[in-house]
Amino acid sequence: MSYQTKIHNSQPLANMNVKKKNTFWREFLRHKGLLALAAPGLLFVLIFNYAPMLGLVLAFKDFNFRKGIWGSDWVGLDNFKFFFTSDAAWQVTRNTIFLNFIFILLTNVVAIAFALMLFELSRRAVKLFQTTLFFPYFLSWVVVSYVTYALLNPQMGVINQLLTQFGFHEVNWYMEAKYWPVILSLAYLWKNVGYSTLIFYTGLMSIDKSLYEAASIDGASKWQQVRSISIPLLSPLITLITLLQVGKIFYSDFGMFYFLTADSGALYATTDVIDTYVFRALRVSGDTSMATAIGLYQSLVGFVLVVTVNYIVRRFNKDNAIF
Amino acid sequence: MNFFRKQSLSRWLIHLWFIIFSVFCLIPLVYVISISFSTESDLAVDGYRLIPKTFTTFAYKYLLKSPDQLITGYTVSVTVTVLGTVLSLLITAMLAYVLSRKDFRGANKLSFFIFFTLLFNGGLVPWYILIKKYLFIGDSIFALILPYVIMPWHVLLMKGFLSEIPLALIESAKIDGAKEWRIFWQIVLPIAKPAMATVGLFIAFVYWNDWWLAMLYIDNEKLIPLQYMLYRIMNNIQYLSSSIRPGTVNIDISQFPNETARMAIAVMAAGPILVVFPFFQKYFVKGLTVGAVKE
Amino acid sequence: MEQTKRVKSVVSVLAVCLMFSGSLIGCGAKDEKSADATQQNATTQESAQTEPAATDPAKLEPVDLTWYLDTSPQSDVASVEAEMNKILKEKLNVTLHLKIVDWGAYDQKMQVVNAADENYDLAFTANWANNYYQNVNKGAFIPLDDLLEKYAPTILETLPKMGWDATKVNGKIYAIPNYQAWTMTNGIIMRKDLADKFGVKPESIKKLEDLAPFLEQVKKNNPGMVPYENEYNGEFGKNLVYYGLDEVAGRNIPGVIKLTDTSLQVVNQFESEEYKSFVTMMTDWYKKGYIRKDAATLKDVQADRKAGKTASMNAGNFGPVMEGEAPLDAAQNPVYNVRLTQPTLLTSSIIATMTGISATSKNPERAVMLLDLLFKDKELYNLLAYGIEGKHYKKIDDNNTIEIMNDGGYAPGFEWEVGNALNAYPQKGSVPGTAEATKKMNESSTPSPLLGFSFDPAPVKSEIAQVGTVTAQYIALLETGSVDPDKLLPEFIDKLKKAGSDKIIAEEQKQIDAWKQTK
Repeated sequence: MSYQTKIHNSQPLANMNVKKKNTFWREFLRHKGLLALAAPGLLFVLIFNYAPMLGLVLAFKDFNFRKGIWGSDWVGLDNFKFFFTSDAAWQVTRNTIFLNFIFILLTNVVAIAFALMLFELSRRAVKLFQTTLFFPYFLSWVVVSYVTYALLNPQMGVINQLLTQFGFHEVNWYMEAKYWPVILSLAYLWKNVGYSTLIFYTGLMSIDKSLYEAASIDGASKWQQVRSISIPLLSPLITLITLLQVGKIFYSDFGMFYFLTADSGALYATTDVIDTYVFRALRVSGDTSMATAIGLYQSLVGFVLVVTVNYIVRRFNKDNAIF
Repeated sequence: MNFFRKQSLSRWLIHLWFIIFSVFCLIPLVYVISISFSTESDLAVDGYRLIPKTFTTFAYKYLLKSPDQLITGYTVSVTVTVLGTVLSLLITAMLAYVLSRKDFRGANKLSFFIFFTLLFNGGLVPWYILIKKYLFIGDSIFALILPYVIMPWHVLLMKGFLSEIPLALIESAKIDGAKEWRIFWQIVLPIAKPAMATVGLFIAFVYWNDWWLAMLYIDNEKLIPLQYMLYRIMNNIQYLSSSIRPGTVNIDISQFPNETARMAIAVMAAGPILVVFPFFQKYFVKGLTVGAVKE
Repeated sequence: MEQTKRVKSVVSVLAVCLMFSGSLIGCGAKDEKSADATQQNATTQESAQTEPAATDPAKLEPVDLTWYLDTSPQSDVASVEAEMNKILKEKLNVTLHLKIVDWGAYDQKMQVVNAADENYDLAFTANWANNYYQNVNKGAFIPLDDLLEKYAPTILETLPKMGWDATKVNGKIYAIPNYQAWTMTNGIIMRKDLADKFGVKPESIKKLEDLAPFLEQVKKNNPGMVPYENEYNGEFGKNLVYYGLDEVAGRNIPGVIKLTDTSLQVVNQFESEEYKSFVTMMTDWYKKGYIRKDAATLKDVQADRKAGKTASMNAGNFGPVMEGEAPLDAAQNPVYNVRLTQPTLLTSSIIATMTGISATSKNPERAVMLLDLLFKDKELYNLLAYGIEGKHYKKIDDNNTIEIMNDGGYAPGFEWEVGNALNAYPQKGSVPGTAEATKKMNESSTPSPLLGFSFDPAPVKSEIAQVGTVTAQYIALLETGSVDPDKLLPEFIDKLKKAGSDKIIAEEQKQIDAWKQTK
């Protein structure tokens, strides 16, 4: 089929061959033009991202304003102690990974489905739906938490009124931990699906239209087209987005976990994540070194995860790996 | 005939599904708008309603009390968003394009170089020191623009989009003797319009929504963007409503907006950026064919 | 999507949250502070002294001073600054730059300013904002003992000795306390109309338990009301003096001493009988419906107060005069103020508002002279506190009573942040003689035996961080009465122990014992 040959044409000239060590630089020189295009961006990355990274040494120091970042005393792993010796470390780590895993899976699956569906609609309809899907993205969690509180609060919440009307027992939502993984997942989906849908929709738009035309002529149904054109061609993008999100799996959307749950202590069993835990721990002292230490831990674990997953992806399909 | 009808049925189902989901997205927004036009006392007594019991623009009037400040805020925000988005989008696209070139064997290493910064950062203090003490851009509009020019997430996202461009297209241009920057401008950018629009939109969101840079770096009142201004008003309201004593300060606290102002702030902050949505959507041109660009 | 934020480490998350906490969580503290401050608005009517400055301005080099202050941003700071500089130029040859940072951002801003070693001269500091001990520990402020001797005669003369004791860290003074009501007096506020209706006499309430009959009546007769206000930030800590305790390292950090105990034995308040009886009482009240069902997650108590739904509440801290206390609600229903304790001088209540001199200051002596002048020169002080007469406020009688003009562009409301609040012009509606009463109260109150001790948290900072996560979780549940204390209290204590509460207490005891030796 013609669309398949086209896909193959776009493969890179694989396995150019294995060269010597200085290949990297020779490549660079060979692509001077490309290098010039990348240069401004790389410069910004060096200045704004890499330069401050030197500050990571604070994780191993007792930061003193007078002595500065370099002059402060080394304290080894002391700044990590408060987290790793804690009773709750395992619980919050588990919650963080579990909830973020659900969020990534759910949001991406739904967003891909939405994007594929939108792709079938007229431009006017797409514009309209895309805009409405994006509304939640613009409401801060603080504002959203007011609305959810109106729905869930035990005094006169809408949901409880409905429950009693239909003969169910009232639920004290902010005291019952078991419901919250579901509530948080739905809230996360609701707020972020517009953003993710737009990403995948854009991915679909860049697919060569002639592939679909050819498939139509060959008599392929819509569903077949989705399966053999849209999904395969979208898969590098899907892999990329997922990999990037996996890298961030140890970080959480703090606003959601803090405001939506009303920071209710009774819910911590299922809602307490690393970011909220560290916030509580350092609220009083605001200790820079300890905060840096946990940030480093979160980054490191995310890093190891992504490198591993990327390696696995690479074994299956070199093109889908991000590096 | 049968095939056609089936098509339209599924299309209707898709429409219906999106309509239902859109309602879920809209209801909270309607709540927010409704609350912003309600009176505080109605809220305390009746809770939230989809339509305000007593319609009032009090919260907005309160926020618009000093229009000069608001105009400054909007001006700064619009300037920062426009300049920042143009600059950031261009540099991001240039970098991402290089990363997406499958025939460039350094691309992988460079991607890793960018990706690394998505995960690791030095934290707030070193970052602040860098901008204030080494770059000397504190308290200037550059402090609001430059730090967000390259965001690894946007670069990698853009790379993802640009990777879909068939290498054959670029190779053929190269054979025609085109230079890299010409290929980028004349072939890649036109074909990547939807990607540019999407990433551009995301970048614009970041600039528009940011109050954080202003809080850290801006002292000059003339450079305070809208979001930070609104953020400060919010704090101010919260503080006043927690400590205000009638008799010492002459404000009637029952009429003092708290939740209503909070919601009005949400409306005022998000409203303008939603207007630019259609502008970006203009570039969502479906299915550009490779052949069309080659000509 | 989260990826779009650039500095997305815990640090930044923390920062954002600190801002919110500044406004949500920190409210309790501020609430009290400004309540104190309001008491101070009335002042003595002595005429401003016009002695020449201690040092001859002609011999002073011209210098610029920068002062960070924490309040809502004011649109017309410039004209006040200009007006002040006329005086300052003449008397001290100083040009002052005021940097006003809003409530939500102050902590964060000062943290980065200090961390970056940025040059400034003075900054507002306290135990609840721009954390004093943290700053001293990290070297942000300079010791002031010598400078005070030389350049601050008025301040030394004005402030009683225990004020200086309270500011001492390792025997040195690192900040100058602002003068206002320094004591802590616990009590409750209840609606007068309801109390009268139900025949509850305020004199009959001697203990918290005595409030129960009132609450019962409210519950029965006014079902729409909240009989007793309670929220997620913890109630026991507000009643420490009532239970005869003083905190060692912070309100919700394990470790208190008894006010009557001169041997200074540190105990864990959460394991005490007092705590047990308090949470049991709260549970009882909660079950009887005296406390909102959602108290454990309630952050904004203002809505109920404004709507006139709050029938009684913890008062936080009472000032020296009882009349003229602020009503609870919008309808301005009068209230009874019921004092449950004597005013007590605590370190924590004294260091609630101070000014520190930055270690980066090039002219610390001039900064001290500036503060001394603010203590001395009433005109200058009131200029900073209220702005320019006729533009930002107007005088309404011969006693210098003033009314703030709302549209003036300068109403910072920080009299208690910038010097001697007893020198402030009284505001309309304040009770005459409050300043004298405050002074008297400060000087005659019993000091806590722990006054002058400051705890260095460094040796147990991991434990304090861990314990902080536990208290944040359980305090809201237990102290609002939302859960069964028979089950949750032992669990709480157990988790505290696992988090290292015993180690904290041992360290506290160690430092207190060492301090006792030097006393």
